[in-house]
Amino acid sequence: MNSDLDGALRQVAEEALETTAFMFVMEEEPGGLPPQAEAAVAAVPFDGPVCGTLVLAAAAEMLPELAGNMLGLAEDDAPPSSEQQHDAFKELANVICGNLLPRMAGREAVFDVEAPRLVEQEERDAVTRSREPAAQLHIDLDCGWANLALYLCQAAADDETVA
Amino acid sequence: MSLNVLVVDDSTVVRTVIIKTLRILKLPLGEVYEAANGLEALDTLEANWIDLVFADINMPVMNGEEMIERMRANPAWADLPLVVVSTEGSETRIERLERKGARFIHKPFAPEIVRDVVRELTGVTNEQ
Repeated sequence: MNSDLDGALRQVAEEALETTAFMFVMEEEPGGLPPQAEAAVAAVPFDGPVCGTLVLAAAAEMLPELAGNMLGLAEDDAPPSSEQQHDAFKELANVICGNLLPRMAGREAVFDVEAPRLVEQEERDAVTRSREPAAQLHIDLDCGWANLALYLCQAAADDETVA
Repeated sequence: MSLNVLVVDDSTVVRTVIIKTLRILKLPLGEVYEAANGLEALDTLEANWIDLVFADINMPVMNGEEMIERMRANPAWADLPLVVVSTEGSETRIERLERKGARFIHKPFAPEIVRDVVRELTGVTNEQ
């Protein structure tokens, strides 16, 4: 793994959470509780000077908080629907991926980014099988946790760079 | 003057956030229309008077770039104020969009950015 890429992923993820959903990353607690079972996984494939997939996984309790904050719902509003929760989750993955790519390849590089989509375990396994992530990140939030992993196509993975 | 606005994005949450931002800014909104892709947006433009369009780039069925090309090829919409709201980070692609007469707002965005762009494009400011 590339520590510059890990750092870029962390910075982009924190900015995206703070700006789009007013969610703030908590300090890591060494030896803390392991993450709960994953509730949702979103993948954002991209192609360009570098190709790969960004995978975002998150705890169940994060999704209503994320959607509620993005939509600006008040406490007495109806809770976000399941569709809204998944939509907000995919949008978070989209924002993180879109903001990470220029840091990887420079602002002149042109990428084709696919629409983010929710993936089942089988599809996620196909992305991650036999590949180590080029960057990965675990973040704790006051309403749960999220894991991010960036998988690059093999040729790019052999030449990891951050612009 | 009130603005009839069309918001084009395949994400219902993003459409809601953009519309909510316009309302928070107290911009004088008339009718607000939504479309989930470029094709739906063109249909909405055909059927309604629209003063300002907000659009994403990466959408299914018809993406934002193709939608913009079709809009600019139609004399009725050739000069229609258009704002692309996207995570796009490529200066190359942003310049290409701007050459087609689109303004660009990068996600995530602050409401003040939207206010300034709307004011520049339409001359319309907050309702007081």
